[in-house]
Amino acid sequence: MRMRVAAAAALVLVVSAACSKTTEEGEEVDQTRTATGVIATDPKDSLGPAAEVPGATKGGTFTVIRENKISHLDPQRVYSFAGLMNAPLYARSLTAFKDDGKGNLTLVGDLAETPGTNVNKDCKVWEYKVKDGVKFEDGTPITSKEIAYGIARSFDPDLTGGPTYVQEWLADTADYDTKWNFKANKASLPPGLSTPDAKTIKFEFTKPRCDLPFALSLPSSAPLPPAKDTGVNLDNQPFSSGPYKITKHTPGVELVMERNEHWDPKTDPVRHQYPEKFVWKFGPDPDAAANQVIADTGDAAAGLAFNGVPSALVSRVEGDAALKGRTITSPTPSAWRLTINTQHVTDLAVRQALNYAIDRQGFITVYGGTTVASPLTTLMPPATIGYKEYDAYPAGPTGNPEKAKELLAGKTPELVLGIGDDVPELGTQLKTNLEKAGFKITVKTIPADAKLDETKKKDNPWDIWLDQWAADWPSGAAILPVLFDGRSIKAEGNSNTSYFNNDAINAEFDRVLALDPSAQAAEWSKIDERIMKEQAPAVPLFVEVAYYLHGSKAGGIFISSVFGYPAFVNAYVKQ
Amino acid sequence: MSLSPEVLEPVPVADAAPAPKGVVGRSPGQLAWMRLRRDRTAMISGCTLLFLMLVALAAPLIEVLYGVGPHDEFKHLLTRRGSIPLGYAGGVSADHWFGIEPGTGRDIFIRMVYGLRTSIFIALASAIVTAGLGVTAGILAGYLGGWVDTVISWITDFALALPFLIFALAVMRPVELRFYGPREEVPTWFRVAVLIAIFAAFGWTSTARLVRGQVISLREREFIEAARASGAGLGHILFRQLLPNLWAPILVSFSLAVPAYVTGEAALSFLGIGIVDPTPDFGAMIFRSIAYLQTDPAYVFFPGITIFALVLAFNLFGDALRDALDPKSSR
Amino acid sequence: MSLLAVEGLTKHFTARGGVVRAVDGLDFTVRAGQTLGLVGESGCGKTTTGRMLVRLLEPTGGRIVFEDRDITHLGRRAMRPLRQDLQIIFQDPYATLNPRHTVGRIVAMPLTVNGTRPPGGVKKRVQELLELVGLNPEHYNRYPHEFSGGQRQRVGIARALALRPKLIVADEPVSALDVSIQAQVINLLRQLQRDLGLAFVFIAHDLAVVRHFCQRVAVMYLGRIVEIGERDEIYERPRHPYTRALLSAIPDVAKLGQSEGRIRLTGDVPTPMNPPSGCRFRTRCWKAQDICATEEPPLTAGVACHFPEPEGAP
Repeated sequence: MRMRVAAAAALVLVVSAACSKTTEEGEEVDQTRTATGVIATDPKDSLGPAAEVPGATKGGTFTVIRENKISHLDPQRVYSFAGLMNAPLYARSLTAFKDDGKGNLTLVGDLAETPGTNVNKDCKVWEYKVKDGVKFEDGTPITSKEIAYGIARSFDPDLTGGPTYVQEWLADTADYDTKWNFKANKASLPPGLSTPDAKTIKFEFTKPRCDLPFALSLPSSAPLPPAKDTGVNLDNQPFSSGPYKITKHTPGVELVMERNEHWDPKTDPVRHQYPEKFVWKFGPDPDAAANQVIADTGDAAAGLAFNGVPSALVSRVEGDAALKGRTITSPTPSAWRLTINTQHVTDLAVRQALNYAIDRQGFITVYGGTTVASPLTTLMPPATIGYKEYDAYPAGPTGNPEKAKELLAGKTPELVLGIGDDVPELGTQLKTNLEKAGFKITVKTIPADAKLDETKKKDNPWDIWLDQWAADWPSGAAILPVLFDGRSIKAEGNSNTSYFNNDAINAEFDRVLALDPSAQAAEWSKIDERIMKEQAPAVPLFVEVAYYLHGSKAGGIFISSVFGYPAFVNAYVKQ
Repeated sequence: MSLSPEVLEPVPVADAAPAPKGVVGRSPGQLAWMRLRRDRTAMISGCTLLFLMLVALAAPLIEVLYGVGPHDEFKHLLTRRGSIPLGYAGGVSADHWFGIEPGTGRDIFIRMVYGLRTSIFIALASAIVTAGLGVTAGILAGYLGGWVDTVISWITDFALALPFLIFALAVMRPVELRFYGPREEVPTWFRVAVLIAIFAAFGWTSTARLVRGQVISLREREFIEAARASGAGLGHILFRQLLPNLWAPILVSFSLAVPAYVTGEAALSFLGIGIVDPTPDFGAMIFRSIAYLQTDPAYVFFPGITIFALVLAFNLFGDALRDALDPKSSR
Repeated sequence: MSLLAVEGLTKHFTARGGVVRAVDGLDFTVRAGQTLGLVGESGCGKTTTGRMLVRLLEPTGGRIVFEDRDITHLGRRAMRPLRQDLQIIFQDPYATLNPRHTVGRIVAMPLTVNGTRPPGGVKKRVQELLELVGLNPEHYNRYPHEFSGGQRQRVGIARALALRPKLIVADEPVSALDVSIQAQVINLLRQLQRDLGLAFVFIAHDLAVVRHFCQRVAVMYLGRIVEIGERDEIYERPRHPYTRALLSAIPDVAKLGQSEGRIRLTGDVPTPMNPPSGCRFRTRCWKAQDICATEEPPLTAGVACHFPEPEGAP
């Protein structure tokens, strides 16, 4: 009987969906937004409280639904997107981004009074003053000691998973954990890190580290009293410094966070404390989670599916008038490019021809449409601070095969395209597209789970493949030198997957990296354009578009301009 | 035994009046065919099969008549925002009978026609190779007995104990790597050949078991001894005397193996280790369509219904064939 | 000169629990054109003997000499020319014909297997054979399931005749047939034997049939010949107690109603896996003495018994 009901229900679903007409409608994603990010120079920007969210009310329980557990909660180990979006609720760091969700970013001091003082203007010595009135969940005040201890414990090789920028910069080596042994020196601090007094924390580097204010916005600069350090167990029950504290945690099932009464909104420029509770529920797959939120019943009414709306469901959500006003869509900083292996494709004309030939519109259509991807012609995504839009190889939205053929001058370059076996249709699209422009493409499928590791090997056999990069902070410094500094090429685990090495460009990287962070932004845009015009080591394709749906009672959710995932600092439950 | 053919057929008496010249007896095969003809299920499923096979065979002709190829793209018929076919039921129209694929914008009807071809070819070829291997191994094991039987039975048990999907998953990639360099495209025919080899490697055991059992019951029959007493060699006994008596079980297991391979191939392609895009294939098509279950149900509907019809028709026909080849008629 | 001579023919099967002495040292000869009947209860080894004669079974010991040639261990190739002279007819008319072959093909099989091309072609020869055994030659294209048991047996006979053999081993050729059909088939065999000058080793448990068909008779008990001799000698003046017992069991219309003279054997046939010592029949023999348990009686003057009936006794 139940089977029959299910079958009948399925039939009704199929018939109703088949009989409804699909048309082109819905508002276009704002694709041209440009981040106007800055680093706050006025200390007032770093003061709390954060501006009230219009319409926000206090109380209620905000629910987040996700398939898998958050890989780490320990602030020193948080690095996954879910972790990075969740951590601000219970962990404060030295700096933070004020984000309006529309690309306007301001880096401000969080626990610190300012985003940092570049003491000698050479980025080698940075000083932070801790705000007054900042407290842990047990009411004890946060001082420079606890912040420095937090950074020191990130040197512990047992505490895996977190970002390693600050450790590597302080130790001036990738093997930071051998240079300074945390377990043997718990009472002292890593080289270069000092706390002259309870309010001051000081970083001294041997090389200029102008991105420090950005790096400190990651939760790995969160404070921890040494007495509360439970080592690897901190991952289950972190000690809160933010507006919420963890009251119940069943890994893989549920995470409950309740208000921390010792958090003082007057000290915090970015966070609010609207809901009574935040609850993460783990288990439902992205489809199921999205369907729960679509149904808008129970917890999901004041909730959000963290995995977003799966691309195949987007048009169903779009076509449903009842869901209008519950969707959030926004370009993310996650940029896709067609990487060109410059070790194999040494002819600049061929690389430029690829750029002329590319049919971004066709590619995006196969990928899932403009609700999930937005075309990109630059190496850096638009959310980068100082971003300037340009198109080095203007060929229209569908590419210009004639222009590409002209550049190839009658040659037929034979290129091997490596493609993950989970997306063979993207390979077919690229092959059809590029062969129209005079290339001969051999499609080689790679097991999806091995593709990333394999393409990161210097001597990998392929010529072109799809790559994706999402920076840890919206600065060109976290994108261009990482992807295109040829001096960092090693045998395996490369981020510079174009294996591109150009002395002039490398020199430019060094020059700009030594500038004051606020002066760097415009320079990165210039280098971006120069790399594309002079070298074309990749074909920029698109940035992912985040498409989220929240329950009718959920409010204040916006897409982080830094990470492209929903941020919870403004979240509230409509009463 | 109430209606054995002996009763139905007039029994000629030895010394009866000479029968009309050129009397031709009805062979057991002809009798089976007559029974099959009378079976409605067999006829309907048989005609469905015949139709689907004709469609598969005539794919290039249908392409010409239909005017759309399996790789032609109609992206302008998709929504820009969600890449979903415009119009009703996944873009069904006079030009695109079964609509078009979301994302890629290819015509579903002509891809299904070609997918049918891929599917039926792989299934039939696998079934033929399977039957060939299984019958040979089964006859040898059954007739020769002794250590030959022991070895073949051991291999059979071993192969039956191997989990098929895991084996297929584990084998496909290394085989590709063995024959094709990292910069060489793996041609579709090679993937097809590997699929057939994998199916045959697993499928022959059940046929071999069946045939072995039959042969063991047949080998002590006196007509085999009569052949031996006349000096017949192994080949004659195996293939002239034994094999004709094995057609019934072989045909039945063959006709039931084909639909199993149709679904098997679809399953492997669904898992991404069979036929890959852009070669039209049911499994790959259904895999892609799952993602659009809610937004474009027509995409899963047409290939789903067709593969269902194909498998059902094969199974019904196999059952009917088994009934028609009822072993009672073998006397 | 004898056509077939068998000396000390032995067949032991290894089975679980020991060795089955199915045939344990047979000696007999068959002359050209002569019919030898091999009788005995089931399990006495007569079928095994028949199978060994046409080399379907490999003898464990002894010799088979056919036309002065030792064929005991000839390979398949060397055996081939002799196959033509040595054929077999089986008991079960249903199992003896391949159900998937036409009658024509079945009868032609020995010809095709041996590559023999008879004058006038295979088909003509097959039709001649069918006619010879009393079947309609037009039924060439029919299948076995269209024939009755007796007709099938005729087909089996035609097949055995295809190569014009000199000796046919007939393994209970009529015991599976209706009594009315039995006579027809026996008559056919007798006619063929006379017309074609065939020699037969006729295996049967039915003494009446043997008496009807055979010139000489050998009586087997537990893998051994207990008595061998001319038909009339055996039937009229049996000397071995076992032969007497067998014969007395034949229902005789003339003696209907008389229980006198009927010998009832007591006990079961011992297992051939562990035959009794000395004379194998002693466990069921009413004449048994001590010597019977210790000494095995040799086959002398056609009988293997320590206390045979005197020659010439009725």
